[in-house]
Amino acid sequence: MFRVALGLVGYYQFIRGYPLGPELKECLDSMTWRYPVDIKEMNWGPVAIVQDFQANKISYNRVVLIAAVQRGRAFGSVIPRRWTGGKLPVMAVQDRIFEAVTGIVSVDNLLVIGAHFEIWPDEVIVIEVELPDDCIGNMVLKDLEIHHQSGQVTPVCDRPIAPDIQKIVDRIVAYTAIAVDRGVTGMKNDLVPLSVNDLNPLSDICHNRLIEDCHQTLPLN
Amino acid sequence: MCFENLPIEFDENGKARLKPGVRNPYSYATQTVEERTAYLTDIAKKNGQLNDVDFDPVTRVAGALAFHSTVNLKDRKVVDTASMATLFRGYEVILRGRDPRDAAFISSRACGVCGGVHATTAALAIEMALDIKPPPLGIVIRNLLLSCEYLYDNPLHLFILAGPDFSEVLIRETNPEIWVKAERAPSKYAAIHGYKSIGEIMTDLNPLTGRLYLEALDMTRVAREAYVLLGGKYPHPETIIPGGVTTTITTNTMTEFYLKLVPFFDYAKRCVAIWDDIYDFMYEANPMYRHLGEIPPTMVDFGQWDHEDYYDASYKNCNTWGEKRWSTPGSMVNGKLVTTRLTDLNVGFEEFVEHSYYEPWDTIPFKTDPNGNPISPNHPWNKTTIPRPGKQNWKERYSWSCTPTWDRHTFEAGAYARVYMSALAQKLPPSNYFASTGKSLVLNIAKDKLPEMRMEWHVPDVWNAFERNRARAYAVAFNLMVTIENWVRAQDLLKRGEKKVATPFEIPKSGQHIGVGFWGAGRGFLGHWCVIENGVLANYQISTPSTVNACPRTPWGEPGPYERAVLNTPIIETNFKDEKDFKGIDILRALRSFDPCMPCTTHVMVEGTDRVVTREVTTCACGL
Repeated sequence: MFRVALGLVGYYQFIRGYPLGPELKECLDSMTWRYPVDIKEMNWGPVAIVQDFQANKISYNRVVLIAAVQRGRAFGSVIPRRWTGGKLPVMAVQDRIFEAVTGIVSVDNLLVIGAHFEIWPDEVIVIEVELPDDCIGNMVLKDLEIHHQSGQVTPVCDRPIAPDIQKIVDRIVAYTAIAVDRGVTGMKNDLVPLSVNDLNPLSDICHNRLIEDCHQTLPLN
Repeated sequence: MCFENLPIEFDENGKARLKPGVRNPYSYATQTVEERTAYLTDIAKKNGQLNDVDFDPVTRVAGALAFHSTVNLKDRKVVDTASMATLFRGYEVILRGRDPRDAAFISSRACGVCGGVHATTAALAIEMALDIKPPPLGIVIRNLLLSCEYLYDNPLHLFILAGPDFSEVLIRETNPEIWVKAERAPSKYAAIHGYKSIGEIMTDLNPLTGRLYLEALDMTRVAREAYVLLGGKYPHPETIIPGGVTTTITTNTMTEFYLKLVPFFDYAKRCVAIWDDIYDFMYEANPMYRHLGEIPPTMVDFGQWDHEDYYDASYKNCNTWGEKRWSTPGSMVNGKLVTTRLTDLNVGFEEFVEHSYYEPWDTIPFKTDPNGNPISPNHPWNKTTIPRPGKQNWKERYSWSCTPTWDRHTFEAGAYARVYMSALAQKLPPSNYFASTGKSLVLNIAKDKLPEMRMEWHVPDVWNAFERNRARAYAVAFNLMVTIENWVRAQDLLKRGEKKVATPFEIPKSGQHIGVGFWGAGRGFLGHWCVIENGVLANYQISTPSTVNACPRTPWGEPGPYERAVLNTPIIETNFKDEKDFKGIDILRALRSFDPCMPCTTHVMVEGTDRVVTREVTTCACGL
């Protein structure tokens, strides 16, 4: 029987208000689908997800991933993409495994590692959601600042991520519905290819400027 | 008398008190910016050929750990180091004001690798604060769940994170002369692991393709499957609660669980044999490796795996139940075990923020612990987390990690600490599977395909990167045998008709209650401190092993463990011409021997500084 896995990469269920996750998952849970669909929380390391696929021994015909990304697009952008894969050198895959096994949630790592361990079917669609740089650290700090100014002491992380959150959820749900039920064929014109060359490079996380700062403080020459 | 630096003494009943006549008992000197500048300038003057080498990220975890070394390649020495956590965690402020029952669920999210330990530590803290004693079976099941996390975590580090640094691929690239020796070197323990030469082992450590690498990935899956049998879900189990667990245990469950453990009997033996062979060979290949990551062994560990006959969750009795744990709590300073009492560990613990992006706090609600022992204004029960991001400055503030100390020493945390401490203390409860001799830890590992074996970890004569990893390999076997001990105890409880796994409780709507979860993670020391006021969490503090190891300097200028270990690391790498093709493998080996896992230390990105972070760690997944 045709079977679809729908994965939410980066959904956090306990702190309501901030994340799209709970609202999104409620919408997805209430939908009816053309095929049997397993909605999976993929809020943990890619290796664990690979092992989950391997352990369950379920073969999916289609995988749809809804994932938070930072590709430099405008906040709220929702872009459906088709994973086309590609070859990476062994050490490049290992670099992503280094991240994965130490707790990183990243759809890029998931795609690469999943491909390496051959868990993906031919048809993998990624609904990329561009969220603001404002992740939980900023939100916590902003809340604290508000509390500091107002003198209030209430739990942080209770405010919504943005006022137009529902519009973003609606866009995600609309794309997801087509992706799950009709797949690549149903969204041919909308799909943007996503290959290993399009992923955020790991080198971006270096902090070389910090070293420059240090240079400036040291009279090395 | 375990305190050398804090002015604390003990009365005839062993109760701690401040020494009389000390005017400001918790004051401390600070190294000024000018002194630090003078030190760095002096280094620069003495060394005309300094090269700044940036090993970033060390764990490749979202850039969360950046390690700066100043290396003199000509003299093959590291002359200055700074470890920085680049991301803000925030759990302490997220938990403030919430229902205490949320603590286990929310703090579990502190790490996507070892969430269960945070959930358990939170449960222990709430149990202590609200006087909830779990039933015996609940305590034992919690131990078994912890064991599964370690069976996942330690092999993962040995073969997936640290292993590649000793693989054929890396050795050939950085030290071809050692590879030549490895190919010819016979292994000592071929009868256990099956490899005739060291070179063969190194080949199978190759990332992604090596048999040992792939086997470790497979074994971590088995450990997770075992966890799920008892805990329902992993990571982020929802079955761990204050008062026990919410899982239904039957003899069938226990049988299935045991079947998952069986492959680890031989795997544990092979882990020990493989890493004994690798490190013995590396010392022979180049004796300078004895200095790689070398520092005097100063460690703190809370111990873990509670004994169901003793654990009552109370602070009042924590020294008794602590010393009956299946790994012994303790503090070791320069190789000498100075205490095994949990109250001493708690009383001597402080956190400093002079080099971190936090503001100092001025409210000091507690002068003593619940037993009347004095505690510092810098103790977690007194600490308020006040984040204040700013521009990085190596001389002043440069990390989101604070600086934990015990008796004013920075200290190490790790899986090796529970092996080391248990070996020295000779306080382990009687067991058929393991025993402490005061100089070693004896492990009787059950038979599977390999025969039953007696393996023994000995206190090493030098404490360095290799010995950390070697002890971690023995920790796999220690952990396994503690698991078997607790599995047998669970079976006995079931046979006696024990079924209860949790104690119900109510959250009091008024009053102040404080507690601490003394526990551990795969990477060592883990503590959660809570203050509950009028039914909600008024303060919550988490101290993790990676915070302990990756901490910045103390206010008085003592470097943190990473920083000290790398300062002592000789550059043994040979296959480079200049800084452009210098891999820094020795520095990385020294750092990775601590099993750095920065999601523990730091979790979320912060704007407004000069840092750019493009990826997210576990909890940042909440963005979606």
